[in-house]
Amino acid sequence: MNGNNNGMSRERLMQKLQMYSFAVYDALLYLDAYPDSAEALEFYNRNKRLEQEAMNEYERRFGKISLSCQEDSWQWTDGPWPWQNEEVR
Amino acid sequence: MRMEQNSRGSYNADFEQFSNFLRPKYGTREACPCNSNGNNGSVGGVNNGNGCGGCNHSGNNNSNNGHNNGCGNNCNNNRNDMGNVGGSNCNHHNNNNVHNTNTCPLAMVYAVKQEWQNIYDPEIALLNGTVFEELNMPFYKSGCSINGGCRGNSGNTRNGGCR
Repeated sequence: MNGNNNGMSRERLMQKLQMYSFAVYDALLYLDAYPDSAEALEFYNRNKRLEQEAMNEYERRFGKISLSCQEDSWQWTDGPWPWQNEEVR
Repeated sequence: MRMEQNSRGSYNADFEQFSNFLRPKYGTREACPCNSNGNNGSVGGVNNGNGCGGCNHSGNNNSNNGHNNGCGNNCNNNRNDMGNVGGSNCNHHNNNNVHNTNTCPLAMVYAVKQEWQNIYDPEIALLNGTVFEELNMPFYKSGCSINGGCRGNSGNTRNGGCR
């Protein structure tokens, strides 16, 4: 899987965002214990970049998805809520 | 902890020589720490009563002949426990093995240094709840999994856990 997010469905793009976010977080847990691991840092940086790319693409096409992404509107509330996942497919 | 060697060649800070290895001077009661070569178990059919709660890396943590060695939380598989670091109370092929947890020291824990290896792709990692293949230890109804918990080929089954 690569960072090419063009033409991806909303659901698939969200799935990619979640998987990169999870990989980043799990690598962070490892780095807590082994902060000098070059391999772990490389994995973290690579997946952090892919996570950001997926986030940017999602927000560009489907709107903001969290409060931390707030810029000049409250658009993040317009996206589907977790209990509405079935409706957006 | 500090581990320093003095001019006489012995360690004099927080560790002391005990048998053929060093043990911390305090905080461990009578428990022995990890022994990288030896055998914490009772193999000869006697109760050694040493209350060992640690692990060892190439030996066998078990009491193989049905006698109490004072260890209460390691897997007893009648095999070497090189891959088994979980202490998950699975007893395979374990005849008459008596666990007397009253003799075990409280809260003896250890952490094995984790290596960055066998890393899942992010998609597989999300599906399994971990990036690390070696930490992918799904639990089944009866306790052990084929990948984790009690590892190896000593009687684990996917459906029934420990035999």
